Order: sequence, then structure tokens, then C-alpha cells
Amino acid sequence: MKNREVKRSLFSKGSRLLVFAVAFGAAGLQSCKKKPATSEPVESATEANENISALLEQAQYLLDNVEKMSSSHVKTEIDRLRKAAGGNEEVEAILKQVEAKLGAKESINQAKMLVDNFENYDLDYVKEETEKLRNSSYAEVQTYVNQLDKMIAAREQRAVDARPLKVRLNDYMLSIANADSPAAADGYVNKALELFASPSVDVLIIIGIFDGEKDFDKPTTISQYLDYLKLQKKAPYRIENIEQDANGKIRLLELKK
Amino acid sequence: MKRYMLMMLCFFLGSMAMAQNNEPDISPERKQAIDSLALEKVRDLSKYITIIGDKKTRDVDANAAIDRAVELFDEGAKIDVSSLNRPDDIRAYPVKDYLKRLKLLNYDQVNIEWFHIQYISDLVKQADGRYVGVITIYQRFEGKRKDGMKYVDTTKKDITVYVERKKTVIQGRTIGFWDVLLGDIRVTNTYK
Repeated sequence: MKNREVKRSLFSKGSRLLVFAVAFGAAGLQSCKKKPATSEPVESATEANENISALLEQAQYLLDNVEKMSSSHVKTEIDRLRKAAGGNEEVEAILKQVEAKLGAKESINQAKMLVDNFENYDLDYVKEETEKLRNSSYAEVQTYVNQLDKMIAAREQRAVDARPLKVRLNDYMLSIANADSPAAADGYVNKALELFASPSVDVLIIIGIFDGEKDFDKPTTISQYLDYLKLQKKAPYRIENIEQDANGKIRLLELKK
Repeated sequence: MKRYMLMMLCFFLGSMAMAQNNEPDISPERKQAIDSLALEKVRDLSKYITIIGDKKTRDVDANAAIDRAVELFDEGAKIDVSSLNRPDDIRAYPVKDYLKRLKLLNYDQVNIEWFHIQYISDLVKQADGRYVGVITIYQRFEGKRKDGMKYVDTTKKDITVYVERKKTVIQGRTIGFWDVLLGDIRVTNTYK
């Protein structure tokens, strides 16, 4: 009997809670329905301001820490903030600064990488990448570009020096004869002369071989012969023989038509 | 016997002298190589004259061309100058003087072209051992001034060519070479 009373009492408590809950829910729904229409934009504007201010903070943080973050992370963040800001000018202005800073960082990294690993790269690749960096407005990049220019010139000169003497001299002679301007020809003349013991080294030109005997034109000097190539704009003779001195410099040159 | 010995000696010395003046003729191939060499020298001169006359040529290059051109000539050689304005007055100048005057011609634009360069007299061996021939060329000269004044003529010129066999020692080697030198350049005809 006592148990039955307890059960009844619990049931009555549960029923009362359920009724309260339904009533509260109904009241809640009613109160939502009754919200004045004018209060909605005010709250949205406040939320939006809070959002923009958070985005500005995040953009500024990104700007201050570009150097510490990976490029891909910075790019992802830029995209995310740009999307979230929905064209807000203040956020966009900071993001533009972030992009510029990221561009500089990437250029400097690229230039540094080219310098640090110069000998491991293909020369054409380095030249191509250096040209891309040449117009950069960042002083640090320009310093690297100047350094790369010198390294490229030195490597090219090493490549030229490694070629056989005959090939190098022949190339210079053709370059003199086919130079675009007298000044360019002068440059090649000076380079060619570096291969010789002196500008007065004899040059013999074979005009033919008859009965086993070589017939020559009147001997000339290398200085006069290079002048001839420059003025006549032709290189009609090929290198037949080169004699070198103990220092590896040419002391006699024999040419043949 | 003494008279006979003297006659033999005279004959032997005479033969030696004859042999020096009548060295065996060179082969046709070798002769052709020398002909080509001489023609090449005249073509080189043609290019130097164009460079020297051209007002766009740098002074340093014009002077270098003068030096290289002078080297092509025999010492004392002269070059004739003619003009349509004074047909009976052909003047001969030493080579270097001629080339310097050419460089300083009073025109704003000068074009000189040589064409039809060919032998009119083949290289022939002379008693002194030199070969002498004559090459003829035609020169078209055109000079313009800014005021519109223009002078054009075409001149036929004969160039005497001397070729001599010489020897020299270079780096301990005896080198036999052909020394080709240009002689006087004579005007034979001048026309418009």
C-alpha cells in the first residue's frame, strides 16, 4: 500500500516536470516569434564588426609572422581570410602587404638557394632563374643577382678555358669577323690576344702545298691578322697548326685557306 | 790548253748566271695559287677603300684600314685621281696621301664600290725573277652632301701587281713565301 502511494507521488512529480517543460518550450517559441524586427541588423552588425576585428587581428598576425611560416601555410591563410572578409578594404590592404612580403621572402629564398647550390645546378637553369629575379625591387634580391651574374660569368669562362686551344681561338676568330659592332669585335680581339705570347707573334698562311712543299703568303703578326678579320669581316683561313711556349701561350700560328 | 780552260770557266760562270735568271717555271697549280693570292689582295684593298671612304667608320678603324692598305703596296707606289669636272687633269698621289685624302673627302656620305676585278695581263716572270701582271677594276664612286649636291662617277683603273719569291726564318724554320705587292694604280677611263 505504501509502495503504491510512493509510485503515485513520483508519477505526479514527473507529470508536473513534463508540463513545465512543454510550457517553457511553448513560451520560448512564442518569445522568439515576438522578437522585434528592428533588433536583427543591430545584432548582425555587431557580430560582423566582431568578425572583422578578429580577421584584422589574424591578418596582422600573419603579416608579422610571414618569415616564420611556410609559404604554403601563408597562402592558405590569405585565401581563408580573404574569403571570410568578403572584400573588406582594411583586411584586403593587410593581405596585400602579406602577399608582397611573401613574394620578397620567396625571391630572397630562391636567390639564396641558387647561390648556395650554384655548382649543382645546370647553368641554363641558373641563368633563366636569375633573369626572373633581375627585375625584383628588393635590394637583398639584387645583391644576390649581382653575385649570381659574377658566378655565371666565372663558370662560363671556366667552360671556355676548358675547351681545346684550337677551338677557342677558332671561335674568337669567327666572332671577330661576325661581330655586330666594331666595339664588340674589339672585345673579341682582346680576348684572342690573351691566348698569344705577344701581339707580334708570327702568323703564317699556307696558300698551297706543291710537291710536298708548303707555299706561304707573306708572314704577318697576330695583331695585324686580327685587325684584318675585324675590318674585312671575313675569316677565310682555318687553323692548321699551333705552337705553344712553356706558359701555354701561342708563339706561332699556321693557317690554311 | 790554258785558253780552253778559260773558255770552259767562262761558259760555266755564264751558265750559272743564266740558271739564276731562268729558274724552272712553276707548275700551273702553283701559278694559279699565286694568281688567286694577288686577286685576293686587290679585293682586300677594295674593302679597305670602302671602309676608309665611309663616313660612318670610326676614326680608329679608318686609320687601321689605312695602315693595312698601305702594307699592300710597293714602296713609292702612286694612285691616280680623276674627276669628270677636269677630264684632262689626272693627278697621282702617294698611296698614304691618297688614302688620307679619301678619309677626309668633303662629303657627308660616300659609297665606293669596286667590281669586275680581273687580270688583263697575266703574271709573267721578268728577268729579275719577279712576276708582274696587271689587274683591272671598275670603281663606282658616289659622294653626297646635305645640301643635295651629289657627285657620281665610274672609273676604270689598272693596278700593277708584283709577286716575288722570298725566304725568311721564323722560329728557326726557313719559310718560302710569295710577297705580293701592288704597284701604281692608273686611271684609264672616267665616265658617268
